[in-house]
Amino acid sequence: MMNAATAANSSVYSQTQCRPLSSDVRGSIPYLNERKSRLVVRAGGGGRPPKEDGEKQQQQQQQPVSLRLDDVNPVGLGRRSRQLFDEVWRKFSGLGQISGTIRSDDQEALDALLVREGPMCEFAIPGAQNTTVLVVGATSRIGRIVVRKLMLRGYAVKALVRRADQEVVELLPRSVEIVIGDVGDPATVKAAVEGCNKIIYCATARSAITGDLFRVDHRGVSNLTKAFQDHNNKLAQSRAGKSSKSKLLIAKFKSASSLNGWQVRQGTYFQDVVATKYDGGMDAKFEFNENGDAVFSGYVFNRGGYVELSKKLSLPLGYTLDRYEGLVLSVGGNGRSYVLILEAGPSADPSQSRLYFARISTKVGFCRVRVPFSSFRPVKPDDPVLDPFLVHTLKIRFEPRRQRPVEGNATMKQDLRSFKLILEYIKVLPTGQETDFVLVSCSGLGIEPSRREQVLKAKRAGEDSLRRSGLGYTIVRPGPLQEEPGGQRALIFDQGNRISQGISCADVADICVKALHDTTARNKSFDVCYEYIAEDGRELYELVAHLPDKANNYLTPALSVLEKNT
Amino acid sequence: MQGRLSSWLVKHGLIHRSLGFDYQGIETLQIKPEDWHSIAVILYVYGYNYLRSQCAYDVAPGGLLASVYHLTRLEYGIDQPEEVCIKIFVARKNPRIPSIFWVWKSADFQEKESYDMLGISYDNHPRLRRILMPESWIGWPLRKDYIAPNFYEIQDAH
Repeated sequence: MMNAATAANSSVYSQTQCRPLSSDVRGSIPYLNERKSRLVVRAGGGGRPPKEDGEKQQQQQQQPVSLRLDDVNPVGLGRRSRQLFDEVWRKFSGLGQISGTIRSDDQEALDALLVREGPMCEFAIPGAQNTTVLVVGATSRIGRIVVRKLMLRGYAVKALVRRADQEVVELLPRSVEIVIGDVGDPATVKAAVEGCNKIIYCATARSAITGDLFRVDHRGVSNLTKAFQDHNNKLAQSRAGKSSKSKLLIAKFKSASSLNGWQVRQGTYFQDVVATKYDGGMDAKFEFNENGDAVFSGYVFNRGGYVELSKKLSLPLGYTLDRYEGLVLSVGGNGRSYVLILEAGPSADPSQSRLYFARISTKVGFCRVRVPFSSFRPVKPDDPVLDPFLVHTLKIRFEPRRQRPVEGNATMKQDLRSFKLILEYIKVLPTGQETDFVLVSCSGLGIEPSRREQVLKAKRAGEDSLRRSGLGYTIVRPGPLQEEPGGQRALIFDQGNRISQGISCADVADICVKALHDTTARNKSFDVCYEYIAEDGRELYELVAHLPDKANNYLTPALSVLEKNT
Repeated sequence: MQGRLSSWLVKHGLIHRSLGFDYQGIETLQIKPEDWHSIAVILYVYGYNYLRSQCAYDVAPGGLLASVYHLTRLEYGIDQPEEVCIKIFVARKNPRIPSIFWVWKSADFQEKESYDMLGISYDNHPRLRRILMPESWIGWPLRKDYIAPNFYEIQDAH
């Protein structure tokens, strides 16, 4: 490699000497300009600084590139190694000077070289070097400890702060990249998620104003999830349109031709002849209206009747749903409930297929409904669990007997047997191994009762927006926070809003950092508090406690018993 | 309509997907990579005793890689033997398919060529290595995102 690079340099040198170049040609070809500047630096001992264009290109070349065997291009590898060799040679030749100009970019390069040299202790996690974590709320009680723990484990950390004051800059470690922005502003949030792989959200509202609560706890989470998914989609576009984070499009209702293949059917659960005489009938249609929406609307007045929308799946060649986690639908409804039905079995013979159902509910207005495959239940109870590999048909069914009354519509009484559903798209979510978004929420304890309702409302809205986004999430709901050292007491992980004790900020930070690469932490919400002994007569269940320690991976056994997709 | 082998597999509860029939009327099935070894033994016992060909291809740029197996049921006195085509699709990153060398020995060099050209790693193959390109070659030449090296720059090709 070194011999080839040296030979290339010699040939370049001879070429430059043989051909006299005019100033116009030299200015119009930046590559030759770059070579020229390098030769001058090397021959003359670096007396003259390189030109501006060469400087910019050198900055571009200095970007760190992670090489994988499948992505390696031999031509690019040879050129990149030659560039790296030339860069190192230029630096070594510059070391011999007694007095040299120290430029600002060299200063930054030296700082980056000295500070970001990897993990400083034995907490090293494989994969941490290639992971950039965005910490939102880095100046909060949990966020400060999260940033320190991430730096110790070798992660690259970005911190989103509202103002870069002097005390904020001094509060965070020096190698943390600080991004100024507000979580309520989508533009600054979009700039913050550039280059990040995971997000830890520790921010909380500092005032009791309801608008501030909803801005930080609900809209901030929503803005970050949207910006993060847009960033992942942009990465997927730059990688030939497909990556492990790309959603698979099943149906996108944009034009009238996109309704091809969908059929509207009717059916009934009762086969009684006597009951049919008194029914008012049912009808439904699926059409494209003048507003550009695909509307599935109709009424069901028969007792035990249903109408459904059905389509045989047509996926690209080789794609099956067993590599995916669930469905996500973007629908606009009026508060009705629907049943999603998947038909699985041999696609050539539908008589041997099995039906699996899951109930979804819509809101007034557009919303995204995320239905994991694990929530589908067989229609016949003795059928096996749904195998997504065999799914060949998707149905959306409306049956009026399962509707719950809408409280807000007491004034205008709507008939619960009529429905109108606007469909925007149906996609399949990819299966991921790790969590993408760690959200530190609130369990409600430790807040004065006058504010608890508002705070919990905002926190639950933020949690719901994260769950519907399709990202892999981990939602931590700690008890009242205490300023104690971490690792002193055993922790209790629970679901169901039953905890009553506090927890240290350092322990919550440790859970957030450990959950980044834990496969059991994906798509889970849990409460966490210190271990306690219930008073006599108030024991409801046996507590399972885990003692946090450096050498103890307490998170995987604690989270493996908890329910997923909660 | 359903093919004969697909009906037989459904009757015995073996998970597969029917991909229809190709232009010669040969039944085509898709099988999961993790089920392929057991189903291969079942097909051999069922009577498919000859691996007519095995090849692999890249379905789409950035998409899946496919490994194709053409199996034939050779019997004495039969002029039109029963044939089936099995396709297994794997992801582009870390593609692994169980090797059928121990079921049909003629899969030896064909799986080596599929590994050489597309990078599909056949598990438990006894001598899986490159047979067409040099051992030090970087990349898989028949993938659709492969960039061919420019041999006029000899110093870059190695």
